[in-house]
Amino acid sequence: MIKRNGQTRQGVAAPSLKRMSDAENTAYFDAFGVIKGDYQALCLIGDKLREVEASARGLGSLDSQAQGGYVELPDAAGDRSPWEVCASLMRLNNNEVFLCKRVCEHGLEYAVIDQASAASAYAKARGPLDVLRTGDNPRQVLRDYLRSESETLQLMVNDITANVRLVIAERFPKQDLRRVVNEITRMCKKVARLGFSESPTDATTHAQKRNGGVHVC
Amino acid sequence: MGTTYQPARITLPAMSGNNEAVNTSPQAPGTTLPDSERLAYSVEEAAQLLGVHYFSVYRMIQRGKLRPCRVLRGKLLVPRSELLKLLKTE
Repeated sequence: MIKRNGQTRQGVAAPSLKRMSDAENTAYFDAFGVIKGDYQALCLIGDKLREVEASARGLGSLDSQAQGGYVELPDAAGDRSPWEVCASLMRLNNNEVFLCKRVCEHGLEYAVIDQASAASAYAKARGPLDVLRTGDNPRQVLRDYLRSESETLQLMVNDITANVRLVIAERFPKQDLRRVVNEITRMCKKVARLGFSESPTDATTHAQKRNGGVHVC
Repeated sequence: MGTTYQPARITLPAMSGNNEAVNTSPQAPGTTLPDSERLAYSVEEAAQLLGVHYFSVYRMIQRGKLRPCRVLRGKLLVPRSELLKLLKTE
């Protein structure tokens, strides 16, 4: 779109959405109304994981969260030392994900652990702790965890998209509304995107560029 | 997930082979699987039955702890047998 002064107008709305027909707009709002809760959850989880991502770049801030209290998670097998919670990474209703550490024979071992409510059926059958990642390098453990969560987010996006297709097929049969599906898919992918592939060195460089090369406290 | 599209009945020819219908209407959360004729559950329903957040169910699927089936334009459903396997205490 061109502004009155001749310059290009950017970032107002999705260009594809502007050209949508009335039927497409109706379908869009109808379908989005159905998956709105999922989309909001996706935004929330994406935001939390991006926070973890940011914290992983300065691990000191994660360690400092544990200073308030010493929390231990018992090892599932029971024959090894318990996990000490370094930081809470994410809390989702009944579940909380922690970065933990413990002493083993060759030094410190780190893990990302998902703790389910002890009252849940899953915890009763399998135990409340689910060790998602382990390793001796906390930064690497977090990166591997984030990469895995990114794939999980993608799975969630695919399921939401499938839901959108179902809604549209049922409520607007025999209409070509692929652009609506594509638009909602694009939005979901955007909020589910993590930048974990960016190395800490790159992030520092970008921050320095933004700050004009001056260290900001 | 409360607004998730829930078709009244879904056929699962790939699972049952005899076009048995599966009711996917939401059920109340519980600690054990309800004794019903359901063959499969949506991710949200599976999460309610397991007592975990539904992102954890997606994670279990992604890690291979739960094997879903895909029906109707790629929507994920968790077979009842998979939930029973997961909840079986050893």
